[in-house]
Amino acid sequence: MLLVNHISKRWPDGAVALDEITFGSELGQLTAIIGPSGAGKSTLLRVIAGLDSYQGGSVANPYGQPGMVFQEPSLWPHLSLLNNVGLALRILKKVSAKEAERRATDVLVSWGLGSRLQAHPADLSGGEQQRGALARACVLEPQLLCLDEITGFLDPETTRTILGTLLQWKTKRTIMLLVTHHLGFARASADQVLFLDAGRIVESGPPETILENPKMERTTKFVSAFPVLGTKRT
Amino acid sequence: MRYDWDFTPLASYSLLWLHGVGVTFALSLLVICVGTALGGLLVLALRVQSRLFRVFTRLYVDIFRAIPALVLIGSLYFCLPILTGLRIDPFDTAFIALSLNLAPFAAECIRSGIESVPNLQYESTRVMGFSKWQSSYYVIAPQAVRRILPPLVGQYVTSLKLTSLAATISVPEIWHATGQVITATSLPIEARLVGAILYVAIILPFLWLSRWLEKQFNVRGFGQPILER
Repeated sequence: MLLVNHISKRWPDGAVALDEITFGSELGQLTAIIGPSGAGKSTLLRVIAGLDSYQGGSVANPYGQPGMVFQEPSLWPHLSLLNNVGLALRILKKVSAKEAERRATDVLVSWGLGSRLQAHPADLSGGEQQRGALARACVLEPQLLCLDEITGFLDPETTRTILGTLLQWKTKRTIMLLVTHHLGFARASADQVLFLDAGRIVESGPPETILENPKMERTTKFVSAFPVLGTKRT
Repeated sequence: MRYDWDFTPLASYSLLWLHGVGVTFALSLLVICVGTALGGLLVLALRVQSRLFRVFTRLYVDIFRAIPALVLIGSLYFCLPILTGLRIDPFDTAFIALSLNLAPFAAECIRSGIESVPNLQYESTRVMGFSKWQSSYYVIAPQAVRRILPPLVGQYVTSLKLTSLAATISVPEIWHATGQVITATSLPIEARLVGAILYVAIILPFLWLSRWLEKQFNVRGFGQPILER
């Protein structure tokens, strides 16, 4: 089980970034992290992924190297999509070139990019780039996947496709932490929802509770700003 | 006013000029290699932990970018022996001075090239478990080289042209050879024209090479072929 235990972080100017964040997540679970801009959602993911330091608390992650996908496109521009996805297999997993190509192709196909294997990031649309980044993270089969507003820049249709594919990966033995503003998706697909504000977890629990019957006034105010809630995915 | 061009007497000095081309070429090559290596070391020095060391390196970079190459050559050649008793050969003096001149400019090209690679590119490798070396070699360096190369080659061309300053301390490079030909033939216009053409003949291929390199590095897919050939 992933255990985030009383994590606290301050910025160099003393401002609170994260304040006593505590939660846990089990394999197969999708945790949606919601909240206003500046709440600390991305910082929390970066701390869990090991990209940012923190001053207090601990992260107990028994699942090894986590995968992470950022909001901004982060594919490596000098490599083809196939090489973007295959590089880590070759370098980190010491897989043969042929095997790396096969596995990278399989993952890219599952993300709907089977016809763009040789394309370079500059030739891909924003949605394709983000799917490529997701494929790159998934190919290593991390048990912990941190996804930071992965559909933040994308149109609703592409967003729907990406989140739909994401659910296929959820069936694997993976913990997903998803920072998102798509509360409809969180309501339909998340196993738990954390509502963050000013670096603190204001409220957490099952999506139907947090998103439809929140107890805290702050959560109610935030959730009521999204009128599309309750649209269940099929 | 009419001028009677006469290139014929210059022919007998072609060996002298050829030697000058060789010296210019050798000097440039040495300056480029050592200046770039020094520039690389300066970039490393700018990244060390010690703040004091970084401040001194920054100071060196700024001061040596501000000193004109001619001042550096003259100071090393004429002042150093008086102050230290150490006399350096003219060629070596020009080589040292021009390398010291190129190094801070090369350092700036390399530093800005590396820093222009978005941090997210580095983080995306770190979060996958790449070591610093693997990240630099496979992801950061191929992107940084594309950004470094065009301005760096521009600096090389400048260094190549600055080798003509070595004539002031009698290094037998192209412009010094040209001076000797003028003295011997009293044909200053023709001789200087030939000297200028020789510089152009050396520098033009260099410019073409830099343009070709730029094109090569702009090709999508440059970098380590990982899977496909």
